Amino acid sequence: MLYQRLKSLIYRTLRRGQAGRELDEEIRAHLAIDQQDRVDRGERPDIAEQNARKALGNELLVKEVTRDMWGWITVERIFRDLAYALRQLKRSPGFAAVAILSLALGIGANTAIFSVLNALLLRPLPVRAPDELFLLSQHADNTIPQRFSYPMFLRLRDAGSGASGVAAMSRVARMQTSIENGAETAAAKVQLVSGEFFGVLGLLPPLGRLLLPSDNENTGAHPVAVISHGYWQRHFAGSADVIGRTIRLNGVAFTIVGVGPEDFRGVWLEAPTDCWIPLVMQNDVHYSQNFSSQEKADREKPWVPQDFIEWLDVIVRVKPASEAAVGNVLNSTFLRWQEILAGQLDPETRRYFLDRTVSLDPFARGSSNLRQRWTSPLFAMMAMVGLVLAIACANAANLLLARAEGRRREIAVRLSIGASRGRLIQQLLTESFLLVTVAAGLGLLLAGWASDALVRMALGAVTGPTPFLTGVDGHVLMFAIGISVLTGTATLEQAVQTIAELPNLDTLASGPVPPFPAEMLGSDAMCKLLDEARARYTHVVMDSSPLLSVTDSVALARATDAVVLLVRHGKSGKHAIRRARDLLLHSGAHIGGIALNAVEEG
Amino acid sequence: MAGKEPYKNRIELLQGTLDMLILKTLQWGPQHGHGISQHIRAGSGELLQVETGSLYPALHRLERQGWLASEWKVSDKNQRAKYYRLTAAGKKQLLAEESKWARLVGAIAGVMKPAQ
Repeated sequence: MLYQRLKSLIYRTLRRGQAGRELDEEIRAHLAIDQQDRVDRGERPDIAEQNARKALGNELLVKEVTRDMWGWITVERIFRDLAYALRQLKRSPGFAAVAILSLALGIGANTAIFSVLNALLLRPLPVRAPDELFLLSQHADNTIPQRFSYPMFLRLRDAGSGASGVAAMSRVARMQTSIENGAETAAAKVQLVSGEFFGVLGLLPPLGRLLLPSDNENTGAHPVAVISHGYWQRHFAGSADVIGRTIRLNGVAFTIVGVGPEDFRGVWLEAPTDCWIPLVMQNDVHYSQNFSSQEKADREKPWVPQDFIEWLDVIVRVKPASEAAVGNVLNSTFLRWQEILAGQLDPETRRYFLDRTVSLDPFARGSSNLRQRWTSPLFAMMAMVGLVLAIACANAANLLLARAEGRRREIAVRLSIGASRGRLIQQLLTESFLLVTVAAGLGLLLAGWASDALVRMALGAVTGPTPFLTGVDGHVLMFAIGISVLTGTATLEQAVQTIAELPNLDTLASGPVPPFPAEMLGSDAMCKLLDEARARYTHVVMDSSPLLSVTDSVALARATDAVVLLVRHGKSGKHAIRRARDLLLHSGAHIGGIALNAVEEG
Repeated sequence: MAGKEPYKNRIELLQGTLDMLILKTLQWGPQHGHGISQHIRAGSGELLQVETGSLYPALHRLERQGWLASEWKVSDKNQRAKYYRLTAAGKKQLLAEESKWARLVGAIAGVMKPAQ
């Protein structure tokens, strides 16, 4: 008894704290005052106590709705629900495992596909105002579109087009790399860029400086490099003294002047760039790819001063809504110079040279060779894994429903001792939420691994960091969780509804027969349950076991207002009835009357 | 049953009037929950019965809104109880509710008994 009280005290202290205890006391005071009032008015003390309780109503419910006013109670409640849900799941680990695994697979697959889709088709470059970035692309009716020569880039840059900035860049090339002091020799992905490149993108270095226009003035004279954040971490362990150290690219020594921003992996999605060097170093590092040249060009000499080697992409930053104007100026500048240059060419080549125009294409998402090719397969796969998730949800819902059936008794008990429906639904929701959260965690792990594998497989076993994936996307995760929760909820709602068949009659089943029923019936908990029932209902009817064969009913009889003795006609003898009566009276029960049943007509 | 109450003679409290009744009751001085409900009941000629399940949530809500303050005191019958009292903001609120109520009563009366 003392232990019980102590336990309940500790429980309350931990669970509800000061405010909860104060509310308990406030209600207790209310009862005491009411009782005193009634006694003063002439009621018998025990009757007064009963009436005071009755007038108060369901004490638990009163406290619950009062606590609702505190606001912060919801947080405490969520924790309580979570603890409860955890216990429930622990009780049926098989169910939990199956539900969680199927949901995790569904969520994981969706997240993986969406991550790829998002990286390739949706996500903008991690640069300042990516929507202001445009790629100057060439169009031609009869020839394949070409790139730009370095002198042409300078003319476009200086055309006074009103653009905020114009920069040029090569493609990303693999170069043989070795780091000074280290024997390490490996391939790195290097991009040659004009001095305006980082400025146009609007990037800031976490360490050192980025390339500037002054790094790109004289051919072969600026052996400086900016390395990516990832490369810095992998090959220099993120050490701060990397600035000023030497990196050899295709045998030429470059001085590292800075490190790129952490999330910036270049503007080519499938070729995360390790290193950026000035365009003027082209001949020194033997960059020689993705170009076109006319017969007047000399590929062996530095490309930078040559008009007839076209090897550069041009990106332009424009102020909002001025792209059309900028594009027009760039186009007319380009056309004017193409005409001048075409004069130096033979008639056949000239025709192709004059065939071209330029325009601005959005560059917010960067360049990708895969985008075009992967778009429809990705959407098809997205639809497919969406279907898989739907099936996983249906599966989990079925499991929940099957379990809810088994929990009807628990729910009936909780409803009958005063839990509101909303409260129950909230709790069951918490349970499915917990289920889904665990599943989502697993799914997240799965998604990271799967999207990685997907990209590597599609690109053919890439070493180093996976191109263009920067971890799992948060949007799709929320979407997948949302679906799962909704599905879980729908089924739980049904489980609660099955109780409300008779609106004014609530039943409380006894459950399996315990080994010592008399002890259970006479327990404090039983008294409490009866008190609650008394406060809540007009009449409480208990159906007990036969009086003379077991002692359970005597224990119960004491707690009731009145006992109705059921006597079966022609079966129960006079003696038995007398003994039953004596037993009841002896135990202090009040016999309200005797009902005779199984009486045959006539 | 000794405490059988004449339920059919009761009037349901109008939505939103309980706050006003509580504030009005406390205008006469600090009172505990039971006292407030008794006062409302007596003042209404036993017609208005405030359920405990409505009274205490209302008291705690009003306190949270800053219209009531509370402290534990011992009653004249030597029972410790939580006494509520009006705050300055509560007094203002009471005035606002009273004038709103007067207008409502006038409006309803006007509809029920149109001027001849």
